[in-house]
Amino acid sequence: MLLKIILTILFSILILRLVVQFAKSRIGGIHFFFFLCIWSGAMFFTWQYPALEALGERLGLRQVTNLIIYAGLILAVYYVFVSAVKFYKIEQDINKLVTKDAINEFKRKYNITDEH
Amino acid sequence: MNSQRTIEVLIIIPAYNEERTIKQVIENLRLHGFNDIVVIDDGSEDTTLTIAQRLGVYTLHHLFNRGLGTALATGLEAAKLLNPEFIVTVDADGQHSIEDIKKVVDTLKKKEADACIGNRTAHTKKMPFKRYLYNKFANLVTFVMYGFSSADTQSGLRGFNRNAYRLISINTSKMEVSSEIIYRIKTNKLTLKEVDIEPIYTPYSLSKGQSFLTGVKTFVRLLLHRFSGR
Repeated sequence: MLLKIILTILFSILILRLVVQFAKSRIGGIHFFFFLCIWSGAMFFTWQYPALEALGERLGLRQVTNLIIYAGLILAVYYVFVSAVKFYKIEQDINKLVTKDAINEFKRKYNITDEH
Repeated sequence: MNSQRTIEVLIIIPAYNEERTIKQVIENLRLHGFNDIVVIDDGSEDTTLTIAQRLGVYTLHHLFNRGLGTALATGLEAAKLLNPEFIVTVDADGQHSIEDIKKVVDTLKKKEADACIGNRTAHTKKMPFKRYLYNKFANLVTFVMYGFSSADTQSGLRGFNRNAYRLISINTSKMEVSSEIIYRIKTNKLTLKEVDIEPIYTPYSLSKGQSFLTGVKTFVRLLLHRFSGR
């Protein structure tokens, strides 16, 4: 019970951060933004209203809260991956600067002024 | 050094901490007529750069180590300035024989392709089994990521004609560059030919090879590059 509460709070914070980030950066797109809003709402309503969880069980979903946790985990992995891609792009930009610096020194050292 | 004369073949050697072998590699190349050489020192902590400078070859220097991909990108930019007819990338650890380098050059001179890559898998008996497995896996990963592959995507012996090296741009920084080059060749609609080569494996060159962990990191970096859209 306590674990469920903690996980729900953690994922709620994560989802809210994702919502804000994607709204600002538009990486996820408008559809993903709405999906996150609906997902967050569904999670809270399910928690607040056990009848909805019972409905979920009748529909064949064994534990709706577990499903929500798995979805949250997938989103967390996606968030980490998107962040990693961002850092990778920054690294690429640094590499271009390193190359530019080396080429400028090369042109000075060997008096190369024309590019063919 | 007269940078305005026409250069037929420019040898590009990316190097990181190769003081043990760089002198021998350069002298061997010169002995066989390859006099136009560029060494890209990728932030070495030893005397690689000093040795190359004393030998009088073109040298470029990275302030800090950025990886094979960045070194090759710098080499390509230098090639665009020097405008040779052909370029050949060669490993600094002495793994590539002169005969194999000449094979690549001859393929380009005969206009058999825009790009030529040395294929080590023709001599798998000499290749350490781990290295063989890694190469096979790397070929598969390259295909999955980019939709293209070759018999030896990770080969460090590559040649390009002027049209090819002017079209190819490198955006990766480390070992994943080998797969990216295959991708760039295909997406720029360049013709590619692979020639069988016989690598020289020494304890030193094997120690410089990729470990399993490096392979995993390379795979992750390829994934990131694929999704970076560059």
